[in-house]
Amino acid sequence: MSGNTNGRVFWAGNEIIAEAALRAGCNFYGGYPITPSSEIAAHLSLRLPQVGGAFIQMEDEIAAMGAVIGAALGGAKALTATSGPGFSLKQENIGYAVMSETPCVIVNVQRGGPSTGLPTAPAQSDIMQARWGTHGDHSIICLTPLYPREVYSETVRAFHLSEMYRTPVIIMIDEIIGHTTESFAVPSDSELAPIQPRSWYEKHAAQNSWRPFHDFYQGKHIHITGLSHTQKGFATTQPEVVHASLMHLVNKIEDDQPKIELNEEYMLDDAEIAVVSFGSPGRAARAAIDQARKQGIKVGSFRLLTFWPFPTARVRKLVDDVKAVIVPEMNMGMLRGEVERAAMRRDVQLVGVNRMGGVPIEPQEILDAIMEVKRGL
Amino acid sequence: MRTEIRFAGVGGQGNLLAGEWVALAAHQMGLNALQSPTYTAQVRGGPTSVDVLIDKDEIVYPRLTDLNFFLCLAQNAWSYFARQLKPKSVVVIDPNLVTDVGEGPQMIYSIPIIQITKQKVEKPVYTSAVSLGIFCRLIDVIPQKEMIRVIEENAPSGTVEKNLMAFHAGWESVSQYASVSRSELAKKVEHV
Repeated sequence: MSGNTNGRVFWAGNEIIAEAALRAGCNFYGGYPITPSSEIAAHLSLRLPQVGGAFIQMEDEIAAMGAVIGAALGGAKALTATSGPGFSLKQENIGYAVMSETPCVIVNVQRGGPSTGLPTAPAQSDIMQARWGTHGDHSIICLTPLYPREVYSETVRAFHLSEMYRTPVIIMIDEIIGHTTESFAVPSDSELAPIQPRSWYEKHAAQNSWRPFHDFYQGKHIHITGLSHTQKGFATTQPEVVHASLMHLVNKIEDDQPKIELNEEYMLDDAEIAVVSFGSPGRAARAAIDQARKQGIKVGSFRLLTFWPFPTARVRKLVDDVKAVIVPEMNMGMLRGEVERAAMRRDVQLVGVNRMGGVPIEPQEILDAIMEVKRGL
Repeated sequence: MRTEIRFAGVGGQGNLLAGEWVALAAHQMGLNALQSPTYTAQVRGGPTSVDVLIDKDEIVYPRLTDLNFFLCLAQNAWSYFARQLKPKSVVVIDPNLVTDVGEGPQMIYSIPIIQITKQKVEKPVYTSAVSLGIFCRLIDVIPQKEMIRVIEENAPSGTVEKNLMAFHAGWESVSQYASVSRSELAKKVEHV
């Protein structure tokens, strides 16, 4: 990390996440190193003690997630980072954070899977695991920033959303974003989501009939459990109470989906072809669109910054407005499946550009798909 | 204008550092700079490369597509990373480490970089600075004084002087080794 020049810095994606977390007030990191996410831990092991925070390397990924939940329940703004294999291990405790409504932020710098898979090479094949990796009905917030400024601002927003909705928030980037060092200007306070202590969110919770929430060691006796529980935090099997508590877990996020949603739309106004993407392929998509536009092809880009909750209504409208949708992604069609679901059998051509194997999708591949679709229109 | 640069070799040669310093110099000049390393899980000994992009305008696609400059210090790295070359790419190899370049339209500077490093600054650890000198002389994007400033500011304490010696050795070496066509180099391999 180096080179502050006129407010512009030259940081890698993983460093950006670490620095943005500190800006958001993160004062605890519990983790276990795994490539390509390790620089987040390395950076915070240096920086957290400088700002009075705590860094702990646990014995494994499961314990790391447990440490994060414990710290958050003690009042800390807590973060952990991992990659595919570690993300799998964390799932049980992510469910515990969902059920116990514990705010925390989890970063997955994606690499190829399954299993140990492809270390230090990019993939986007954990995006469904972010949604459904832990068992049971629930909702989750999952952010997919791309450009350095977005990585910064979305990390800050992740902490805000986690406190706002008392939920784990997952940031999904990939090896390319994590390891690419780039010049950018750090956003000012006014460009960022609120940065507030937990007490600030209590008022919001009261307004929304959220469950009462008190940190450990603040003078109140509290009870936390992963069992279905009443508003007082004690286990229950009463069907109406269990049903209502699960509805609460899902609806607190799904009802606010429009407030949480963030997308980047580029040249869509007159587009007859839309390229829908998230994360790294978004830059290849833009390069391809710029080239296609030069040849007079009406194509635009729709890029998701919030993958979960999925922007179903917006994508449905998009599908209505265009004749064809191209979905480039570094997996076998996870986003394409969601677009198809949102499209609800509408008459639109849906084409995937899929690349596994650890090398990024190039602009030319997307351009080829655009040209082929255009010929068929 | 977009400039695409790649330093490749095996882990431990300092190629990643060379790329980092080029990108940092561009950043400090107020240009948009982007740098991304590629390495396997075994960083030491495995093929590595660092890609650097420099542009006055916004950098949209963050990976290389048309290389302006490619410097390679290992045969296995050549096999991995000698891609995205265009006919006018400036290519530099150490002929003691890269022996089989295959056919292609490029002109190649064949400079014994490790040997020069050992002769001029004794320790091969300064290879990255020699590479930087060669890069700076051949590609007109980072002025010599900007590169020197980055070396002075970022070299570990006690190594600045040696790094600068190495940088100048690289710079000077360019005038001693004329470029040869890739096909000619490929033919030499056939004879061996």
